[in-house]
Amino acid sequence: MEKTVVGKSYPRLDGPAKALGAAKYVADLKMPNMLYVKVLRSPHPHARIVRIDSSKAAALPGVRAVLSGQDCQAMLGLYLIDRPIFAIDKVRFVGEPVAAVAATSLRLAAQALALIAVEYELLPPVLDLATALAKDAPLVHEKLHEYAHIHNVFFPVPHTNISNHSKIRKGDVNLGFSQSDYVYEATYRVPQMQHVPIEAHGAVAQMDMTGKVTIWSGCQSPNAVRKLAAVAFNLPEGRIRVITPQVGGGFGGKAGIGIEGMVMALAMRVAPYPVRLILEREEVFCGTAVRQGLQATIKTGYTKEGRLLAQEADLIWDGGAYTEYGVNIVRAAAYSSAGPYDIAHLKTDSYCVYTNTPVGGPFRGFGMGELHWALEQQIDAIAAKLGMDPVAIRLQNAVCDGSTNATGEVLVGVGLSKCIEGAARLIGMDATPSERKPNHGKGLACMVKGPSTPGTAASSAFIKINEDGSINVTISSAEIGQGMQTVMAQIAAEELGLSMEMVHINTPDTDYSPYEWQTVASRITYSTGNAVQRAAREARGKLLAMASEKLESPPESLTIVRGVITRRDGIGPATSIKELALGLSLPTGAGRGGPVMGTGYFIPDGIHGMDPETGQTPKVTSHWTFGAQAAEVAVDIETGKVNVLRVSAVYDTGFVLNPLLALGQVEGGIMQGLSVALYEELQLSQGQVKNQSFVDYKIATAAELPEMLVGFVETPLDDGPYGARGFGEHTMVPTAPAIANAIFNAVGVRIVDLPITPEKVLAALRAKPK
Amino acid sequence: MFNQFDYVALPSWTLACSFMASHPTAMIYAGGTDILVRCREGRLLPSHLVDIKGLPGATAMAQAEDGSIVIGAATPLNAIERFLKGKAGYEALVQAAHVVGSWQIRNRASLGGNICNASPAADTAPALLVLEATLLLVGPSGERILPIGEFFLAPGKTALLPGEILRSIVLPAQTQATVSIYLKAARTKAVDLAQVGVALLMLPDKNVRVALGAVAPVPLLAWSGRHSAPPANWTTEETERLVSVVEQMAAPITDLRATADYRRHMVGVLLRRAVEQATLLHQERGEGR
Repeated sequence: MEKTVVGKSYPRLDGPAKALGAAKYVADLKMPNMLYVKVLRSPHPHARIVRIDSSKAAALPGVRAVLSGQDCQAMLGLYLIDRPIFAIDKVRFVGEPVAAVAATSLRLAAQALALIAVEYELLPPVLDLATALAKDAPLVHEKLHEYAHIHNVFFPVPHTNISNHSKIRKGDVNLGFSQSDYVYEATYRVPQMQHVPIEAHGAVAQMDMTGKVTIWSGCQSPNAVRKLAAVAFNLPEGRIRVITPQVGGGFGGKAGIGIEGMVMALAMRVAPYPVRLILEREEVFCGTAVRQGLQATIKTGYTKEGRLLAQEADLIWDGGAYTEYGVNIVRAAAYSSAGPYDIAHLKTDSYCVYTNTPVGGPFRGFGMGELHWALEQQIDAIAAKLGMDPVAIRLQNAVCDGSTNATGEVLVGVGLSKCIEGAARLIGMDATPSERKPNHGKGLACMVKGPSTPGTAASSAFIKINEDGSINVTISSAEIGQGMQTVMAQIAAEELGLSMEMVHINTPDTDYSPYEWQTVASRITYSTGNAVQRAAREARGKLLAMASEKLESPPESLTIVRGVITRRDGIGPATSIKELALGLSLPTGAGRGGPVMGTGYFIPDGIHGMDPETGQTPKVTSHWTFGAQAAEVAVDIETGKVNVLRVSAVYDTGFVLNPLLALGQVEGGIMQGLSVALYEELQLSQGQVKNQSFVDYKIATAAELPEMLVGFVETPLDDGPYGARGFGEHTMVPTAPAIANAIFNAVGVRIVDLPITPEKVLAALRAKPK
Repeated sequence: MFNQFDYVALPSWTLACSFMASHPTAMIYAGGTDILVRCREGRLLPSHLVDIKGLPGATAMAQAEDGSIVIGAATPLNAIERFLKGKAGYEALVQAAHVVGSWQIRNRASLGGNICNASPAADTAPALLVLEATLLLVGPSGERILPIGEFFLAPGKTALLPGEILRSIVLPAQTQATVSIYLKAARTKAVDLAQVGVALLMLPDKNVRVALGAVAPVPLLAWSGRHSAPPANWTTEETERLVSVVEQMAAPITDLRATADYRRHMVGVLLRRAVEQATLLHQERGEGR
């Protein structure tokens, strides 16, 4: 059947409210008798808490509660429960919450903080990976072996700083190297960085006199907040209500549970007063999750024709002080460690390492940006060594239908080669050398990513038909700027034969909207989209059953166009969704049936766990999305500055549900990728973030905007809505290595440590053999 | 969070000066783009912010008959850029005013504020140094005029005496044949502080001035003197001679924005480019006449 709403461009439904300032965020919430929270944070990267005396702070008039690890022993964790709400016994990073005050004004709360006396006994800090992995290293977590975690999925190494060791053993790597003509080994590094969403993290919580807690949180995952808070505070989930208004950007930084734990602990102490915490930007930098650092050593065996035969990868991740979420990034990197290439023999060891630095966590790409920074430069370097074309070597090794990935999964529906060819064509990779300007260059990089979710990650949707024939689509995924609401509305409108203005969509409220695992992993279009589609189909079925009776024609003969229900052949009378919304009215004056609702749910089919020793499995994730980007740069060899002139991008998204939003997603991803490539880095000194504001944490500005050339390939995914695949995060993954490869092409130097600063480029140019 | 301070607006410069003299922890408030940020960070704890924007002439600009230009201290940078654009010789200040912060910031940020903060990296300072600007200061005991070169004492420290306020900046007249250039190295193309700033001014009488930002504790006039040839006829050797003299004046430090080595390197790179651009501008002017 011809599609009328999906596949077409619609502007964002949430756009007007945001442009007009009408959209409400957590910081807009003001309630009577609200208390304000300030957090006392650790000044030390690693220290024992000898004593906390908060008596003076508590005695300050207007202070309603002071909490610390002495009062609140609750622990948080998505995959590994290692993170206390307030530091217990010791602090593990500069910025870790030690205590928090709720007072009648922000000023009083700040005054009270200054009255809390904390005595610390300094411990030797673990500030880098080498120290963390050294024999007899100080332990960041002495009780790692006692921590609850998901068994046989994550593998903490007791009495070390390694909180997860994920392995891939595919084929026989030694055989692969012995069959290779050449072996190339290199090490690549990625620093920790911040998501810097424009909205700082914030939450308000209130416990009413019956003990029910409501949390308003600008988060990505209301259901995860509810579940993890229920565990931490030993409350039934039904006694916690999480409301998520508009969210001003997430990028992973608001996934799982964050500051909600602190706010809830205080709310429970001061019931029924609401308490509110909105982080300062400095606290976002030091106190919320950051992208993990990575040191990747890749050893590749290949033939003189450029065929990759074997790869050994050591991926050492700087997980920071707590890795409750980060352990899964490390696992995802292991099972994706072949990248988008068909490599017969693989050995990967991916380690999540504790250090006394800011907490690592999910960041757009979930490890793939970091991993591909290494893999996509490695294959480029091999091409250069062989004197091969960088596009040709990728096409030669690219996975295709029937290839196996790192886990041994046999892949189907792979459109990678078309993406590579498309990105190369858009940027003109094959331009003849005579067309090349001095110090200009082009480079390409590919990527693959699947949603790194548990096999049980579920979505659900609920649709009710309103009296006027419009519908409300109720879901619990968060609108974090990705345009999810618009796409979900399109799916519902498509299935129900409605125009877009007849679809209303909510922000999450766990008391009223159905379950959603998390708004992460580029999974909403895919997973929630399926749930919405099923809910709409159920409602459609009920409508058509009633219409069939009313129009005296079998349901399969009927169709709905813009809310009007008729026979497909147009013969006979018509009815409408509006007429049937509340049930069927019979000619006798009686009614039958009732108000129409539709429900739908979705869990991806057939995800298997990995073999603990080999990582092999028939299906580790719901689906894979491939893509490629190419960049054209000009390098100023006097200043070392890199000017990114053009970036092309082609992704196989299965089906483009909304071309306008898809383009926006790609352009945003390119800009974030460019920013990561050239600027972003948490500068740490003794574990302290030195650049905790935009004065010295630079992100790309509009002035850096390159020309962007975007294309799509549409290889349908069997279980995606209309064939669609997830691709939100993917759009930033290959940008940085594409830029690095373009720099190599331009001036013959390879920058292996992010970010690509002018000083690194100049140093490399000076070191280059003449 | 902000400390608590009172906002003060007075009807005359004299009253503003006596208020400042009797309130040692009061501070002058013009655009507020630096001071409010520092107050929020707790790095400044003023008891009062004395707004000078409403004082007579504080946001006015005028060119006198002798060609000199008077700019009120609180005049926003965007207004200055518009006023000076196309006036020969002032290019460096137009360019410097254009690269401070963002458009929105420049609608508020003032020229007086940019120099009174005495940041070594202030973009407009090198431009004002090569233009030989003078500063009109008003204090409890009257007015005085100070050359800009004597204004900066140390990072964050100026020659302003207690109770003294910068009232206006005076730019001497320039001839049609004078050209000046300001070039800035920064991490991003916009909205960033200078890693290095270089201002160059070439007079038709072969006098050349070079000033540097962000490479010493204060913005620095690194060279002022006659050169052997008029701007249009410089040889590479002449440029290099200037570069080596100027480079020796730079004493940069390493911080979050750049290493000392990179700063030193960029002084030469930017100065060579400034000479190139000034020469080109000079030639264009010559052809236009």
